[in-house]
Amino acid sequence: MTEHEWTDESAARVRSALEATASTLHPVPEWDEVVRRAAATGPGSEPSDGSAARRPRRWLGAAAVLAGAAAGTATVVRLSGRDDVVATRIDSSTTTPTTAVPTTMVTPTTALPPTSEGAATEPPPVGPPDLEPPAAGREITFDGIGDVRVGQTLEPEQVTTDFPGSGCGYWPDGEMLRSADPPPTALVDSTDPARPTVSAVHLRNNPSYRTASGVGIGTSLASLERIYGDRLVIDAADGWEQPTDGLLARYQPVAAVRDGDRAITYTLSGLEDPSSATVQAVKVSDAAYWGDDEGCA
Amino acid sequence: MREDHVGDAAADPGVADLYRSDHTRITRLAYLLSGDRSFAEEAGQEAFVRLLSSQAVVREPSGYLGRTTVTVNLCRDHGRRLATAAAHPTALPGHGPHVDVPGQLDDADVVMQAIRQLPLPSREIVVLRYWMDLPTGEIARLLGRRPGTVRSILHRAHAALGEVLDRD
Repeated sequence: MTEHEWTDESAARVRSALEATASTLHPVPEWDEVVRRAAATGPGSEPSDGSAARRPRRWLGAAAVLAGAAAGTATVVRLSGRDDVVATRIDSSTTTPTTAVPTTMVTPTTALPPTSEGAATEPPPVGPPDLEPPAAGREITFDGIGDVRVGQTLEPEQVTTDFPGSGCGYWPDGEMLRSADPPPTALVDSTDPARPTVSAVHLRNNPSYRTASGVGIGTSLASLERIYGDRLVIDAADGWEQPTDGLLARYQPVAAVRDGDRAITYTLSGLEDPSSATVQAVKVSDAAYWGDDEGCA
Repeated sequence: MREDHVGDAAADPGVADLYRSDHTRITRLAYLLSGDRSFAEEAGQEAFVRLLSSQAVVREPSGYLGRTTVTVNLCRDHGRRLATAAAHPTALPGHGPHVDVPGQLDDADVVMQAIRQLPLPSREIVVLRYWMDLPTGEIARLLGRRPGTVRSILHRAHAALGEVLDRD
């Protein structure tokens, strides 16, 4: 079955159907009723669905920074590019009518309980390291991850897409991602098919890529707080069906930092127990597109 | 304090004029998104109630972006409530989407039925694109989505609607 070719006539029929339907409705304005209800509701009140309460935003306060600093120091390796040491806090308030209220994040406890001498124990599972210096060529910076850079131009044949003509694709393809050492991947804007451009770089399942501060997959939330302090913004998942507050729909909680027009977003394992939250994935993108995005969904 | 603020905004003739000029458009937008006349009329009021009570009118006198976003969110809430009601039929007795009873279906009816069967995220984008004539970049900003995602969803909506358009 061939796909329908969307033409000006297709668009005209859709417009006509929408207008024909919309014009059947002739609502009666009741300004006095609006004013009465607004006075009864008042400024700053919650919408009736309580959606604001379901999307807590935690701006980390100075107390968390100090507590984190007391817990230890990060290994910092200066890079020549835009490393994460110079990160600034993301300001999401420019696109949202709601006001983010600064609150102090509960500082996770980092100490693990000691193992009793002589007790039967099993070795703890070995996960990715918390902080570790980056290897050469495996740096995460505000410019990109490894060799893949935001804004990089690709050859059209390099880009794969599930929906031809959609203006959105990926690079490289899925086979490389199943390798033992999966590379960073790019979300590609192919609006101009002759000149596809990397709009975001993603990293999953490979803890060998690290920021200058040593952050990568496996880094704890406590370490993110310690390294970035009040520049770190943590945002809970609110998912596809939740009203957006100006950011992208989010399926996973994230923590992010910004440097100028770029952001690094760390996808977290969860916030139910902040003391056990770790970085599961990393994204470098324009600052406007920080957060857990949906790819070409 | 609360009533003072609302009173000030309500006394501003520009705000009242804004309501009179945009109320119909906002109500119709809610109708296209929800397919429910009674809900749309309520949403057309509620969008302005929220704007007045949140002082958004003061921050953004044109109110355009705010009202559209509020309306879209109200329709999403409505859709969730209907989904809950469908899953638990006793939760909201007597509530349900308005269904226009078709006589002889004309082209607009057929196309509109196809639009109403799109998933809500697709329907939002189709309505904003083709009824409000917004470019995809503006839709992305309104919905807080990536422009590429909006284009991708729109592309799939075209494919779904195309099956209906091709039947003629």
